[in-house]
Amino acid sequence: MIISSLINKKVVKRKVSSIAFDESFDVVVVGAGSSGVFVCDSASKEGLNVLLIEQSKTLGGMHVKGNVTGFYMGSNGGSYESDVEKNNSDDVFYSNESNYELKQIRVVERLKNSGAKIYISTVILGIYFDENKAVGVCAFNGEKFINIKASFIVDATSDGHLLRMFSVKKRYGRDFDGSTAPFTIRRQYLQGETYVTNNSDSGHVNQYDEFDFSSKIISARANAKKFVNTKKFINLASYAGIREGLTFKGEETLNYKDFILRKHTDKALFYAYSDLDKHGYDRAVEEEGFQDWWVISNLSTVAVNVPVPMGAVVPKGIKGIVTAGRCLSTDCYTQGAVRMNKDMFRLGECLGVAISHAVKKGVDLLDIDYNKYRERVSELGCFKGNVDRDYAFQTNKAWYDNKIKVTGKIPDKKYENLSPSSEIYFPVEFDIKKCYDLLYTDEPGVALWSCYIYKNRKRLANYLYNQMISTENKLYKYNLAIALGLLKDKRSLYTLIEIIENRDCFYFKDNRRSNQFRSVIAVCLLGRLGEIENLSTLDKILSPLEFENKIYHTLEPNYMFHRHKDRNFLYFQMITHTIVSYIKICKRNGVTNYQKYLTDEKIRFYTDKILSGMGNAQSIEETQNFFKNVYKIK
Amino acid sequence: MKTYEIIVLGSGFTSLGIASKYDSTLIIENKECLDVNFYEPYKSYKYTPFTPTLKGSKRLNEIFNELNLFDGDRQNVNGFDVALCNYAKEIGAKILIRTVVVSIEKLKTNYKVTVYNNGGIKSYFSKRVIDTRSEKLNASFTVLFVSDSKEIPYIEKAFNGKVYKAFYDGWYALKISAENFDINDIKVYVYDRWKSSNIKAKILSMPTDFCYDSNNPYCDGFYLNPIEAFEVGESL
Repeated sequence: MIISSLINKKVVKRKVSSIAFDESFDVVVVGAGSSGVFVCDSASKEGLNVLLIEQSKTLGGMHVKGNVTGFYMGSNGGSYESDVEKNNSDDVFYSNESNYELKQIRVVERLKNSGAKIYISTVILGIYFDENKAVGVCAFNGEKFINIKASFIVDATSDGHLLRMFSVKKRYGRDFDGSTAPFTIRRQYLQGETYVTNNSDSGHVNQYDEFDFSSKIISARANAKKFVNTKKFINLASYAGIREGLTFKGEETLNYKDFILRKHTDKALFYAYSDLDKHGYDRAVEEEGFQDWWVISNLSTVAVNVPVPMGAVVPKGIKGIVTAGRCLSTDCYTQGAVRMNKDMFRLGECLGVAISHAVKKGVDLLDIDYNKYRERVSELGCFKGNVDRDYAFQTNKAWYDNKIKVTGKIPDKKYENLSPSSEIYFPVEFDIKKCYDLLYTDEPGVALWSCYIYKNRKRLANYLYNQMISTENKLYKYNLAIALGLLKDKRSLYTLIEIIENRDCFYFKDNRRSNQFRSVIAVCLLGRLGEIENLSTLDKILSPLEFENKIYHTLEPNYMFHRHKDRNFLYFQMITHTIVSYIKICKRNGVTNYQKYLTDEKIRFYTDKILSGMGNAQSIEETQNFFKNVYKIK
Repeated sequence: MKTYEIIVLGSGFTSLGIASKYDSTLIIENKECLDVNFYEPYKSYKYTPFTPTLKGSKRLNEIFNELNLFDGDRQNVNGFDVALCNYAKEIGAKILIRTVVVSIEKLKTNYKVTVYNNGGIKSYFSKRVIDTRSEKLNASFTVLFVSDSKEIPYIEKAFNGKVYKAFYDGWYALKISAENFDINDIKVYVYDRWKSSNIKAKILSMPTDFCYDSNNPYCDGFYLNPIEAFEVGESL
């Protein structure tokens, strides 16, 4: 037997001749967050002997200690629904809509009722392995070490703190620079008599570097100054909301392309439901597949159904330990879509059932009878309405009303009586035969993606091209050029360049945030399709004179649906996409001296101009990081 | 391996006071943020005057004023966390949050402090170790709520506790004994009792930990004014 630990950030294995375990459980769950609590509750209800270990003194993870009142995305179903029902009829707290304090009370009630044993203020220092099977943990409660035997260990720490203690292939962040989504800290205050709880992104943090983690969190808390001296300030959340951590090689790995292209797994552990939630500004350096969906097709707020395979919680080649929470075997983009509170509850509940089936049969998790598992979690309501859930634009009534005000479009009566915070889901069907008309509109995203996934691309491209060269309608023509560009058809280039030369800053109205203006989309596509002779178009953007263009200084009416009101944001997008496209064209065409165009002087100029308006911690980091790493672009 | 001048256990005002004086200070904190816990759970909204005399304490006092944390005879304890983080950021204090102390060994000439945190298990060395943590005396729990004043006597009776005026008009703090509770249970207790007593006042928030008294002069809990606690550290 060996004990495997993380010492000075390295996996260290040490042989142990024999170990007398102090205690023994069917399941040891580490981390009392959203998923850990529900694994514990569910496995206990299924008859297992469960121990829950939590590092801090309090139970409930980000959704309570991060002061997350209410829910964002994620889908319904499962035993948490009864908690929500109770919360919504409660009036003890100033804000009672699933207040985070109420959520914590429900967590404590749930755990007390589960009969599971709970250790708080306890950390795991090592994991015992018998060959490739995890058989126990070494815990420390501040006073003594406790060796605990377990049939199954669940790493529900969200950041994979147990995974880091043993050898399994891990990765962190996106390919370009290893960066993860920005973190945030929520604040609570009264504005007049209204209870406000909100947050803004606070930059990027590497939670595995103890000094970076500590200084960034302290710095972000310090930045709440303006909320303290101008509002009736209540508090900051005790936990920072860290959205993304390491992923690992599992028995199965879930990739974002799987679910945006609707490839289903045969053995779903559970179903998540969310948009691809990026948060960062630096979209120019993301993977092209992600850009197809998020940047070019404007689908950043389309919620997608994500079937998470059972094998995504099982580290490759390792037995006896599985993960829960947002630390799954995925790519970094999927992490943004599989982390919502409701989904994490349901992940925990489903995993508890799966583990109980495995323990009772004495088999590995992937060898349980899947049909029996599915039957049981369906009984519990965990698969209710999730299996074939549609894609949908997720937004709220306030956004919808504003859209009506701006566009003058006639409201849909069914949304009239909703409260401003009510969620609205507009179902989406990707079928170009049914949605072709959208290419005539300022909401072409669904049609663009439908073109992208259409089977007979060549035939479609010919049709789009003929339409593009014969139409007088500029909106239609430009949308067709983008559709053609998505299909990698070089016949789009002439019109894409026209869009860029005009510095067309039209914004599509598909979604309520994060969409790009049209020139940036065209620049992005030019980088993929362009030739050497097209570099002159990009050269003009890289000239310092570019910043004098009025689009970076005047608010255009078409800009109003975008949340970034400062002009420098446009400049940031234009410059970063242009540089990336420039490098892509050069590399593809064997030009090697492109670095001379990006002089230090130019980089200083761009940085100064960008940051003169976008001065928050996140934009500073992303701008500096971009220029530091940009030559890594493939 | 670097040897720090001082390793400070606990990250309250006295700890930052020490860090303001000694460049080579490492602060180790168990929680996810700086520990203003002695003030955060509304220990005292009543302002106890203290005039800072040292460089660091004067600057911290300025930050308090920038944040408008003092008003007449009251202080806004809710903002202490943000104030201390601003000070820590300004001086670039070396701090490790979410860090558990596993062992402290006295070596021949220095100390070896072994911890567990996001970086795994690691040891740090220092010439001196100062423990600012409390001995956890007289645990109390304080609930911040909004109410009209008529209901206050009823609330005090229902909880056998004491209600204090908080910083803003109409805000109050109910302080109750927390002996024999853990922090998770007491929240459920307060909630159940609030509901069963049919109290109309609305709870704004509950603290993340108990508040304790302390006999440790390096512990914030020993002082009513945080600037004073800071100055004790700074004058070490």
